[in-house]
Order: sequence, then structure tokens, then C-alpha cells
Amino acid sequence: MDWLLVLATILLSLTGIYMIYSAIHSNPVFLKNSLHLRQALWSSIGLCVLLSILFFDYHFFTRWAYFFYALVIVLLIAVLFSGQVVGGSKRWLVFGPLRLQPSELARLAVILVLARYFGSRVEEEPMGFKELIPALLMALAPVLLIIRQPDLGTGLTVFLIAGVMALAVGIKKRVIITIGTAAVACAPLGWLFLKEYQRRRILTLFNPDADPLGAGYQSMQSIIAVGSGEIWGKGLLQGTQSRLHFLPEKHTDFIFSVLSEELGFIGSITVLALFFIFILRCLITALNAADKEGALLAIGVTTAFFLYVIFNIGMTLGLMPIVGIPLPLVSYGGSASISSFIAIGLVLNVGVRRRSLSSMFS
Amino acid sequence: MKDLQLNSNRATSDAFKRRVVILGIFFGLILLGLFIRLWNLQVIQGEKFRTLSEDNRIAYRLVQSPRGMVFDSKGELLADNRASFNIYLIREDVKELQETIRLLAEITEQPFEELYKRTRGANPFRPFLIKADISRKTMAFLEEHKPDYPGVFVQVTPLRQYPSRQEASHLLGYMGEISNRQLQRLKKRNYRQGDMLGQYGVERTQEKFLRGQSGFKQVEVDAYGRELRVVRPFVEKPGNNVYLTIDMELQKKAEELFEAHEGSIVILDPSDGAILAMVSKPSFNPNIFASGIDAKSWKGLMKDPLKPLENRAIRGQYPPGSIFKIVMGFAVLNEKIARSNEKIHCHGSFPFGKRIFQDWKKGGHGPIDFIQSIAQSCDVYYYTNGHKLGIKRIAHYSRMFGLGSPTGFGAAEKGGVVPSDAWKRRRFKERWYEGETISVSIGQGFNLITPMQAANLIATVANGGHLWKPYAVKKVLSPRGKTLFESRPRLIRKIPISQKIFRKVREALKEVVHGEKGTAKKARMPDILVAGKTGTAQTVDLKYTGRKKKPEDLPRKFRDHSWFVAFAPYENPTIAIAILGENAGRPGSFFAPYARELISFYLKKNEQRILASNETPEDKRLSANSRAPGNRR
Repeated sequence: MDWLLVLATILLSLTGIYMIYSAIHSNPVFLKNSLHLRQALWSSIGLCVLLSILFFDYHFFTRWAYFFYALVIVLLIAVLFSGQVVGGSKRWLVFGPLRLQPSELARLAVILVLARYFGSRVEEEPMGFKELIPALLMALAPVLLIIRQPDLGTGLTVFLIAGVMALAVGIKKRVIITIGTAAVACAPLGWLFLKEYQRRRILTLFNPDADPLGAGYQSMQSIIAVGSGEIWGKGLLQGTQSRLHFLPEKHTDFIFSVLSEELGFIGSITVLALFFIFILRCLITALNAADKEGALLAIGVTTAFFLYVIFNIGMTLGLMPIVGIPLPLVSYGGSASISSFIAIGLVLNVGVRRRSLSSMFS
Repeated sequence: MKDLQLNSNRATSDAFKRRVVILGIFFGLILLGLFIRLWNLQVIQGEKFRTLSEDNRIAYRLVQSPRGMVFDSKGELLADNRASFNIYLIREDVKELQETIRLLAEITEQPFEELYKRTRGANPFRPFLIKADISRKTMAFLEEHKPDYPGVFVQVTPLRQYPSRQEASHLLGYMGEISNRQLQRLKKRNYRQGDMLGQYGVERTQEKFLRGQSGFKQVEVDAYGRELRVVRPFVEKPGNNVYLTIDMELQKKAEELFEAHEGSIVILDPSDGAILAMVSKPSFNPNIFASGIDAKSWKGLMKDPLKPLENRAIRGQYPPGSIFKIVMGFAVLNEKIARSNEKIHCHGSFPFGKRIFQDWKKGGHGPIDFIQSIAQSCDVYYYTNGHKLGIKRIAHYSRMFGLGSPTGFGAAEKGGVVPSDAWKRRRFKERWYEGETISVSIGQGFNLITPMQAANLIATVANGGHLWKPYAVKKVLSPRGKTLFESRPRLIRKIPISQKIFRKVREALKEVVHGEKGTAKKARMPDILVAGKTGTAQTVDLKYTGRKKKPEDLPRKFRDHSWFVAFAPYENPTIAIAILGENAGRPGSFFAPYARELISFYLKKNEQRILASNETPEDKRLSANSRAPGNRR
């Protein structure tokens, strides 16, 4: 078992629970609902799920991948019809006391289904269009459904995960060039499909001072919060930017700003380092995987974590447009936490099966 | 485990591994980019951002636009706003909480313990109201010592004020802090904890028009919470102005006359039911509610046995006494129980079964016709004819004139009681006795009416049978003068009785004032004919108090209620009035001179206005509007 990976996971979760408390301690409603304790509960449940995943071979999960994928598609369609509207978009399905965010499951589904699809390939040579198209369709279906919610950020990450997995398997150079050219050509077209606020968010990225009270406001406030942490930070619960309600969504999307303000450069690079270790261990698992299916599973999960980390941290540092993407393991959120733990469980699983096999053969 | 055997075909190739390594390097490089950005923001530029975050912060301050004003029908200002200074505290900015609170408690004269507890319970990052409407002295002190007490600041907000102090307070109503229940209901309409809203009277019923928009302005504040500049202002949107039907001069006159009494005066315009004045005594000063009433004053008002907060005009229910004979008169003539010139001999009593019903006049009135039965308020005439009518028809005519149900003026209005067999079975689970009909005939049984109903009754008689719904809000104008609401007179019903009978009843009512033997000769005016009716309603059976006893000797609650209703001028009525002296212990005629004064005051004023009507009505409206600048505080 990859204890370093497990350690990084646990440390990140604990950081998250504490930072959530710090972010909400000034909000009496959130505090009354003890969001930090809820997060602790979610993390514990997640840990249990992670452990139970280890009991099954990961092939068990890839075998059921198509079924799981179909289920997620159904949930994504359901959320469009009867989802709970939060902040203008439908992201949640409500089952009595439980709320589920199907888009969090969708990235798992896409990773599993593509690991299965690419993993069953016997040929060694890079893929052409013919093999790519089914994969593309499988990735696009949930992506489009997620973008419809609308949740552009998550949709985009799921698509990128699929892309990285395909690249890892290998694509013919000719095909890469064709797709790349097409993408560049289509980019202006995509601009037309964006909503007004989404465009403004992207534009402020290049000039955040242009509209300090409008679209650039959150970004600017977040940068001030991070920067004002200096080297050692203002101390736990001492952040001023975050507690003055300058930052929205501080316990979810802007948790890293709170952390950087209160724990300073030392704190933020520690978290960054933990993520680096995390990603490194996942990739090493991919390298040592027993078969392609396992390797692809690990690559998919790694990519997902990596993208979430750079999108989220990039957003709080004013490097990325503001999209609603949480910091994995650290941000508040039940669906996100549990799906993260499942993903980690799958990677550990891939690692464990390799070792048990190699020990068998040695 | 068998199917997990290493299959060389399925194992990862070197090319694949190479791509994974490239991917790892790529990921690492991007993470390095984040690291560099963090280094730049936190280490290189850290100091700059630290200053930005500590010294100049953006804060939100709640701004309340001024509430709309209230005017009378002539444009006299009844309610506006003044500037009040409120002390707020942001706990998180306070350095020495205990000491600061101790000082604030001292200068605002509040108990320290309580204030400290309340402050501890508040959101530490939001301005918390320590005290509204502080004195200029306190304010000067705070301004001077501001640097010593970070986190404390003073903000100006508009506060309701009523220039007339006590007058028309029941109609105008008062303000109060929003209750939790109201907050639940009104959250969507931009109401917040601590907001003041109309809780009574016009302030309450016209809340949706009067309320000024509230919102936040963004200000840059320094470390002490001091405002440095406004980053994004909030554009004030004052509430709309409400114009009432009342004539404040007449109202003041009525309040003045009634100062020493308890009870109510209601004055209506008989041509459409507009309320010209509405007095309820004792009254209260709505100004003490404006910044939130303190517990002691509130308790005082609630515990006062005379219930000053109760609007007696619409919520006081009293036996009508002899003014009920007006309704009886219509019933008798319309049902042809007696012709108007038919005489009944009054011996001073009416024996029925084992009981003998006494007339108020010992020895009786002698032979008496319809006109004189009203003029002299003969009881025996109505005992006799009331018995013939029966309770069913009496109830029918009572309801016809709007008794027994609210007039529709306001939500909290009481309806009074029109007794009947069905009512008694419902109320007491007991059948109706005919003897009770006889008491009812002179307004002395179970009947109860409100002063508003009495005024509406006499107005309906005056205008020949149009029962209007009384109303007090004439129109609502936006701050810019656009009409948002204009009330139209609403006819409840046209009384299905011939004008001949109306003329007869009015003639009888004129005789009450102007006749030889009329009971209200004191209401006579030299140049104008007045019609009216007195009423003295016993609160308890005579056998308990004895006829001879002086009212002063009786406990207050046993003293008679005194009624006087009137309209004028007789030929072409422009004013209808109802006066009720609650437990006044006087005959109704006692208040006849009051009615005379009010009628003469009002008619004279109108006359002058007509004389001075070179001014067209259009001009008048304009001049009324010009008194209503949108933003007066």
C-alpha cells in the first residue's frame, strides 16, 4: 500500500476541515450547521469507502464501468429536469436528506469507462480517428449535460481528463495536428456560446483592475487575501479579508485564499507540496500498474486531481477565470469529498494489485 | 486472481511509460508555475497586499431611504422624517470590548450587563445597533473620542416624526421594529432584521406605499472603521406620499373639545363616506414609537385601564341607546306599523307580561306622533311599535343600515351586535324572549354599535340612503407626483326605502334640535339648520344603580354612555358627525354643543374656501403638491 499517498490524503483532509472552520467561524448560520464537522463526517465516510474499495479488485469496477456510466448519464439528465437550483444553475439532486451532485460522479464514470475502453486495446501503435470517435462520444455525452446545468468549469475538466487519457494511450501525430488546428479554428466560435458573465470573467483575467467592483472584484479580493498572508500568515482565524465577507464561497471555492491569508507562504506551499506528492505517487502507480487498464485508471484520477488543483488555486491567484471548481479534499462538499476518496481508493487499488502479483511471482 | 495473470499484451509498453513520464513533468512544471505565483504574491508583494488588506478595507453600510410622508386633505403635513443619529459597533474592530461597552452603556443610559450580552450575541462583522436616535450631546462626545474607541461609529438615518404629536394618532398609527414573524413573511421584499415598519393605522395599511427602499453603499474604511470615501453609493429611493381624507384643522378642533373625555368622534362627508376626522380618546403620542418604544413606556400603555392604544372609533362597541330610534323610525314607517301622523298616548310606561318598561320621562309625553317620538325621544312609542315589528324585522333594518358588521374601513374593525333569535341561540344557546325585543327597540338590549357605524348611519340618513364605505386614504403620489393610487367612493348599498320616508325621518331629526320640545336644543345654530339625535345608553340595569344616583357616585364602568349624532346643513348636508362619550355619565344632549361647534367650524371654513375659490381646484392640488418635496427628512 502506498502509505505516502494515504498520508497526503489524510493531511489534506484535515487541513480542509480546519480551514472550513476558519472560513465559516464568522458566519453564524454556517457555524450553527457546523459545516466543518459535517466535512469531517464526509471525510470519515470517504475514508471508509476508500478502504472498502481495496477489498475488491479494480477490474471489478472496470467490468461494471459501462453500467455505472449509464447510471450517471441518467442522473445527469434527471438533474436537468428536477435538480435543485443553486445560484442559478441546477447541480444537485435531492433524495430526502441527501443531496447528490451527479457531475462529481461523472468524472469517475468517464475515467472508468475510458480506462476500460482504451485498456482493452491490444494494438501498440497510436490510435487513429476510427478508435477515437467512440471514446470522444462517450466523453462528450456527460460533458454536454454538465455544461447544460450550466457548469462550464466541471464540464471542461471532464473533457480534458478524457483528452489526457487518450494522449497517454497514444494518438497518431496526424490526428493530433488535425484536432489541434480544428480546436484553434473553433475557439472564436466557442466565445459566441459563452454567457455574458463568463466572457467578463475571462476578460478580467487579463486586466483585473479595469473593473475593480464588478467582475474583477472577487479576483482582486482573493489576490489581496493571498498576498496579505505574506510569509508566515496572519495566524489561524485571524484573516481579515476573508472574514469581512469580501470573499464569496470562502468555504468552498475560495478556501485556498483563506488558507493562504492565515497560514502565509509557508502554509500555501505546504499544501501545494502535498498535492505534488499526491500527484507524483499517483503517476508512479500508473507506471507500475499491472496492466493498461490500471495504468489508465491512475492516469485519469491523477489528471482529474491535477486539473482541479490548478483550476482552483489558479483562480484564487488570479491566473484562471472564476469557475466554480472546488479544491479536492480541502473544499467543503459531500459529493466532491466522497468521489475524491473513491478515486484515491481506485488508485491505491491499482497499486496494491500490482504488488501482490509481483510478490506472487518473485 | 487467475484472470489477473500478467498478459504481455495487456501490460503497459515502454512507449506508454514514456508518455506518462512526460505527463508528470508537464504537471510538475505547471505546479511550479503556481509556486512562483505564490512566491510573487506572498513574499515579493506581500507587504503591499498586507497594507491593502488592513488599512483600506471596503465595508458595506446599510442606507435607509426616507419613508413617504402623510398629508391631510388640505396638504397639511401629518408625518415626515427627521435625521436621527444612531450608534453602531462592529465587534471585530473593537480593541477593548468590555471597556467600550461600559462607556456606551453609560452614555446611552442602558444597563451594562444587558448591552454586553446583546453585543456578544451579534454578528461580530456586521454593524450592531447600540442605540438609535442619540442626543446631540452624546454624538458630540463620541465624535471627539472616536480615536479611543475603534469599531464604534455614528450613522445618520431618517426617523419618523409626527409634527402634531397626539392628534389623529389612531388613524396615523405608529412604527415598530419588525417582528420575527413579519421578517419571515417580508424577507423577500427586502426587509431586514431591525427594520422599522408600520405596525398600526395608516402606517401599517399603507406600508407598501410608504416604505423607502433600503440598500447598501460600499465605503472604504480605515482600521478604526471610519469612512474614508464612498466607493459605490446607494441611490436613495424615498417612499410614496399618502394623502388622507381628514381635515387636520377639524381633527384638532375635535381633539381639543374632547380633551377631557374618553370616547370617540367620527366625522364623515355624507356625500361619499370620506372620513373628515376620527378622534379616539385617550390617545397616545406616536413619536415615542419612532425609534422603537422602550419596554417601560410600552408596558405603561398596555396596562393603562383606559386602553389608549385602542381605536374606539372602530373597535369600541357600545349600546346605541336612543340613536337607535333612527333605525326604528325607518322600520316603523316603511313597514307601515304606524302612519307618521298617527298618535300614541304615552303614559310614561309600557307594561309587558310581568314587567313594566319605563319611559325616561316620568309621567310620560302624552299623545305623541312620529315626529315628536324622535324629537322628544319617547320610549313608549318605540316599546309599542317595536313590539309590533318583532325582533326579526328590527334586525333586518339594523343590518340594512350597516349595523352588525364592520363598515369596511379597516381590518381591525369590530362589527357590533345586531341581536336576533338566531344570534341569541348561537351566542347563549337560548331562545329569544319577546320582552327583550322591547329593550332592543330603544337601543338598550343586546345591541352594540361602534362610533364609526353610528356616523355612517347618520350620514346615510343625511344623503338619502347611500350607505358608503368610509375611507381615510384619498390618494398616494410618488415622490415625483405621479398618482399611484386614488380611492373612489364605494357604495355598500342603496337603502331600499322611499325618499318620502327619508324626508320624514330627517324632519324629525331636525325637530330634535330645532323643535320646541327637542332633546338637543343646545345644538342649535342661528343661521344653519342642524338635524341630530341624542342617545343615553345605560351600561347596567337601573335596578342595580337606581335612577336617582348621580353619575359621580357610580363607579366609572356603570356610568352611562352618551351619544350624539348629527348632520348639517339640514337641506343640503355636507357634514355628518357621531360623538360618543364613553361612561360620560351624562345625557346625550351634553355633547350637542360640541357637535354645533364642529359643524359651525367646518361649515365656516368651507364657506371661506368657496369664497376664496378664485383659486381653481387644480391650483389647489398643485399647491398641495408643492408642499410635498420628495426628500424632506
